[in-house]
Parts: sequence; C-alpha cells; structure tokens
Amino acid sequence: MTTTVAGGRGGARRRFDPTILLFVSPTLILLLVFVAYPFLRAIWLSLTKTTLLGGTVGFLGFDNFVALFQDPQFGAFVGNSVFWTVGGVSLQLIFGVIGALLLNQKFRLRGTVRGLAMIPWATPSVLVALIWLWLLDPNRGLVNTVLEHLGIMTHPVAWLSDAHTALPTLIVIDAWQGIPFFAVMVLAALQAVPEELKESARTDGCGPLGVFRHVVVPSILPTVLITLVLRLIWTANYIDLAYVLTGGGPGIASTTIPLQSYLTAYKQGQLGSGAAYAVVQAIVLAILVAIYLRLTQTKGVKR
Amino acid sequence: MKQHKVRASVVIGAIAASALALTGCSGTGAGSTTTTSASTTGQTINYWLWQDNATDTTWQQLADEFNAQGGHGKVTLQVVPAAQYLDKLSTAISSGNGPDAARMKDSWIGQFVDAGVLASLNDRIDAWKGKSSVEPSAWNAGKVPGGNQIYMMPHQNTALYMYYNKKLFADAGLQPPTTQSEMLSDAPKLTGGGHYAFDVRGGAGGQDQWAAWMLAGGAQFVNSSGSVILDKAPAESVNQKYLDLAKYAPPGSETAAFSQVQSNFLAGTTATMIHHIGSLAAVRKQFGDGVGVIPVPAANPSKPSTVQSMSGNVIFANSKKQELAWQWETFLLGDAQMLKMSTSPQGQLPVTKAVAANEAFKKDPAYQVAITAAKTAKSWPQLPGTTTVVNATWSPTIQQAFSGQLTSAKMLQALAAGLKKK
Repeated sequence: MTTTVAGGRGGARRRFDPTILLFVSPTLILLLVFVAYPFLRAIWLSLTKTTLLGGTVGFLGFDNFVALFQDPQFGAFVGNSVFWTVGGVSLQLIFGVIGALLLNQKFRLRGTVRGLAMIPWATPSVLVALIWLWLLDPNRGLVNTVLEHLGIMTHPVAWLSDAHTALPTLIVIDAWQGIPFFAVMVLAALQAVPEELKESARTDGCGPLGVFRHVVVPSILPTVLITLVLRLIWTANYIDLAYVLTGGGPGIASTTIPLQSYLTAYKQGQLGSGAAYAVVQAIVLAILVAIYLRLTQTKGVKR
Repeated sequence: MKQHKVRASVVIGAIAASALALTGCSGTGAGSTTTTSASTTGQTINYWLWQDNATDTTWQQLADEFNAQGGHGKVTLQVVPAAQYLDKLSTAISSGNGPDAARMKDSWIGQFVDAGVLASLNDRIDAWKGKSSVEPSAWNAGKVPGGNQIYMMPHQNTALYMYYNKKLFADAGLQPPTTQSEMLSDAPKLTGGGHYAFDVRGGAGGQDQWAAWMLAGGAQFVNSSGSVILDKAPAESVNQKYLDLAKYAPPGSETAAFSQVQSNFLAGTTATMIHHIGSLAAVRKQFGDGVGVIPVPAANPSKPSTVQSMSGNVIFANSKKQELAWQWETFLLGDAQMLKMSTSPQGQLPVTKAVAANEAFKKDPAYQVAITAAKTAKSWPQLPGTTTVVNATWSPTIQQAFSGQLTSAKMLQALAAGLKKK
C-alpha cells in the first residue's frame, strides 16, 4: 500500500495507486446510494407523471415545470421563499454578530451564559415549534398576555393566523433558533484574532472602532461569509417551523417552494409535480453551494 | 356526577361485553372466526392503524384476544401516528412494503380504489353470516360513488353534532339554536367580554365540521349519479353563512386545529362546538351537566343532516393472507369486541345493530343525538380527488375565503374542481 512519490526537481509527482479506491469505496458507495441516486431519481420524477399510489404513469418531459411556472401562486411561493430566507438569515447575522461580541467580553459566569445561549439551537425544531405555538396562542398565550398587560396591545393578535403577520412571525422564531449558531461561529473567529495584531493597531493610533474595523472585521470575515452561505442554504430548505406552526397558511401566506414541494408530493400525492418544485429549489441553491465551495477553497488556499 | 354516569355506562358495557363473549349470544355470527374454509393457522398478518387516543390499549387487547383464539393465524399491530398515517401508508403501498390490512377512513378510499390496491370484499361479505348484524347504511361508506363494490368493512362511525355551553346561553338569554339563521342571529349576542359564539376551525381537520354545516344547510357534495354539485345552489349561501360566523369566532380560529377549538370550548371562551362523540368524555369532565348536545343547526330542522366519518378496515389486493385479514376484520365486528371498542376512551358509534341498542348508548342523550344524526348523515364522497381536498386543499382555500381573497362561490368552485380531479 505504498503510495506515490516520484521525485522531481521542485516537487513530487503523484502516481495513481489502486488501493486508494479500496479506501474511498465505502464513502463513494454511501454517496451514490444516499445522494446521487435520490438526486437523479428526483430529476427523473420531475419529468414524469408519478403519483404516490399509482406509480409512474407516463413521461411528461417538461410539462410539470411548465405547469409550475404557469401556476398563478408560484410567484407568491417564490416571494415567500426569498422573504423567509433573506429575512431570517439577516436577523441571524446581525444579532449573531452582536451576540458573539457580547459573549467575547469578560464577565462572571461567561462559560455558563455561553452554554445557555446554545439552547435554542440545540432544541429540536418540532419542539421549538410547539413551544412557540403555546407562547403565541392568541387566546391564552404568554406573548399576547404580556403585551396586553404592558398596554402595547389592546386586543389579542393572532400572530400565526393573519396573512400579514404569519411569515414575519415565523422569521422571528427562525432567527431566535439560528442566532446561537451564528454567534458561536463568529465567537470562535473572534477568539482566533491575534492579540498582537490588535496591539499593533492600537500602537498605530487606532481606537476601539478602528481596531474592530481594520483588524477584527477582516479576520472574522471569511468565517462570517461561510456561515452566512451555510445558513442561507439551510434556511431556504427549512420547512419544519412553517409546516407545524402554519401549514403554509393562512391561505398560502407562508408557503415556500420546499414546503409546497412537500405538500404537493405527500399531501396531494403528486410526486412528479412535487419533484419539479424540488428541482427548481435545487437549481437556485446550487448557486449558493458554488459560492460556498469557492469561499471554502479560497480560505483553504490562504491557510 | 356526569362523569360517574359515563363510567357507569362503560362498566355496564364491559359487563355486557363479557356476558356476550361468555354466552356467545351474538346471535349473528359476527366475530366468529372459527368456521372458515381455508386454514390460516401459522400465518401472521401485519395490520396498520392509527389510534384516536394514543394511550388507550383497547386495540392491543383486541389483538391479544384474537391471537389467543385457536383455529386461525395471528395479527400484529403497527400503530402509526394519526398525523402521518396516510402519508406513511401511501408510501408503504407504493413501494410494495405495505401491510396486509389497515384501518381506513371513508374519505380516503377513493384514491386507493383508483390506484387498484384494495381488494373487493363483496363475495366475502355475501358469504358471511354476520352480514345482517351490520347497520345496512354502514356498507355505503366502503363504496365509491356510482359503484357497487365494497372495499371497506365498517367499524366505528362518527356523526357530528353540536355542543353548547348552557351557562353562556343562559347568560345571553338564549335557547340553543335549531336553525342556521338562529345561529347567526345568536352569534353577536354570544360574543363579547372575551367570549365568542363559535370556532370556525380553518386548520387541520376543520373540513368535517364545515361539511356538517354545509350538509345541514341543504348543500350536497354529489348528486344521485355521483356528479359533483358542491358549487351548485344552495351551497354558496350556506357557505357564506359559515364564513360570516368567523366574525364571532375567537382570534386564530381561521387556522385553528381541534386542540385549539377544544381548549376554547373547555375554557368557556366559545359557546358552541361542532364535534362528535369522541370528545364527550372530556367535555363532560369539564362541564358535567352544564353542557348540552344538539343536532347541527339546519336550514330546515325537519330535514336534518350532518357529516359522518366512518373508519373501517380494508384488505390490500396484493396480500397473500387475505383470508386471515378477513378473519381479523370480522372478529372486530363481533358484538363483544364492538362494545369494547365503542365504550373505550377512543370509542365512537357502533356499526352493529345489537351493540347500538345496548343500554350504554340508549340511555345517554348525547349518544341518542349522535345515533339519530347518523341516520340522515352523509359521508364525504369517496372520489379519487377527495383525499387531496380533505388533506391539502380545503384549509388554504377556506382560509383565503375567511380573509376575503376568495368569495364563497370561488371557494366552492375550487373545492368542486378538486373533488372532480382524477
């Protein structure tokens, strides 16, 4: 199992060793079975008329996609998806960075606070949804009760039942859940900023803001960008909250493309049409994945 | 005090069940599993079900009783949470890993029949000596419109009625409504000071109480030849009345599921609730004699109607153990087993004549309202498109109508189109 290495001037030239295949084959097989096959299968389904019970009835070409783009509700699904993803991740970015800066300060019980701050992130999504369902209950929920007692509201608000408040409410809950992840990632980057760089900046006359702008921000930026892209991908695909809390409603007010994909495939039994929504979503996300790969490669080179 | 009455009726039921079992006096042969021609000894069937009460052990007890009997094979139960049941069952069937038999709702049958995965039961039913023990109307729940084949053995039935809070009505100086017009004129008087008339339940499962209102108002899903007429008169005006009730509903009602609806009624927030016998124990536990049960307000009280939902049992066409599945399903229709299930915490209305005439049901006014309602009740039509309408289309459509995005007529047209879809 010797590998490689043939010397040459200025570097080594790698020689292919078949035993490498032996070592990577378990991973390759898993990837083929659990990633490649379902992915290709979804593309195939999107080109067919396939129902949950009836199986594949026939090949449709791009008819599912044509029907999807001609659906008068498709624009609303896209708008909801963009609002949900950008809104949720923006709040996570802003409050995650603020949280990381606070957690990076020295104060008593810092370790405990850092641990407790992770609870929303560590809580299962369905449990998070049920907690908020109880908190936001329009008739007996804690949120309305407190706001009414404080005089901020005069009558109960049905946060999840009003078309104007349902999606914004979901975004706030998603942000509440996702901020700790952002904060921890940025905190780790903050802790890696060399103290001597900050000291040098101070010596050069920078104040606290100057140190933050010229030393801290450039140091944590790669981590922030990678976390940002990761969260964009995850949030865009995240349907648990909306499915449990609103079911995509009221009406279609909180229905995103992946949620519609699920509802079409499993509630309407139209696997082909549902797969078409999923393929559209995958194409959009592929752009984000490409950005992520680019960022991580760049970071790797810098290392 | 009322709770004691309920417990007493359950005890009476249990005693009667034991007596029936011991004396073998079902009289009809229903539930007898020892006279079959083909031997199923040594076989085991996989039976899927959902539980209406997750902690109740009645289903397992019945399976244990069946398995303890000699002369046939055994059954293993696979309980699937109700919210995921249809998805998982459909997926399992389509991948060839489905059960031999399963619990089923009448509103789901259409798409399974359309896919050709259910076994027709006519020949077995005709040869079964317990056939006459079943209420004749119950067989219709297992048919698709325009067809004579029966695909589901009826088991437990619900016919929706209305609960009303006696104190809230008395405080408002009102009698319980008998007509839909009265309901609408009473609604403003029942609303105010943190109280509301009625939960319109636009969320999961709300289609049944809406359907009860529509049928009671004289609307129809299909005509006698099976054509969809949900968007024909008088449906639009009946539906508009239901949409109007949202003005007198508590916040969140437009998307509420049953848990919120029940919480609101039990807390005295709402004065009325349309539901079925399944919530009777909880309602009586909270209010005792302070709750009344009436038929769903109708357009014309002399022509009452409501929706019924039948749960029953099907056998899958590709099962190689259909005889054993049949034995299990007829066992469940035995008088003792039926009484045990109907008086259990997840019990609903029995579908066999002898058990329906049992003292446990005859003396209880709520059961009497339900049993009377069942006589003129209708099911959702078992069309291929019904499952999608019930599970996917109805909620967002009525929610859009509540918010004014759709008119009553447009809403009904959308639902009718969904029912017609293949």
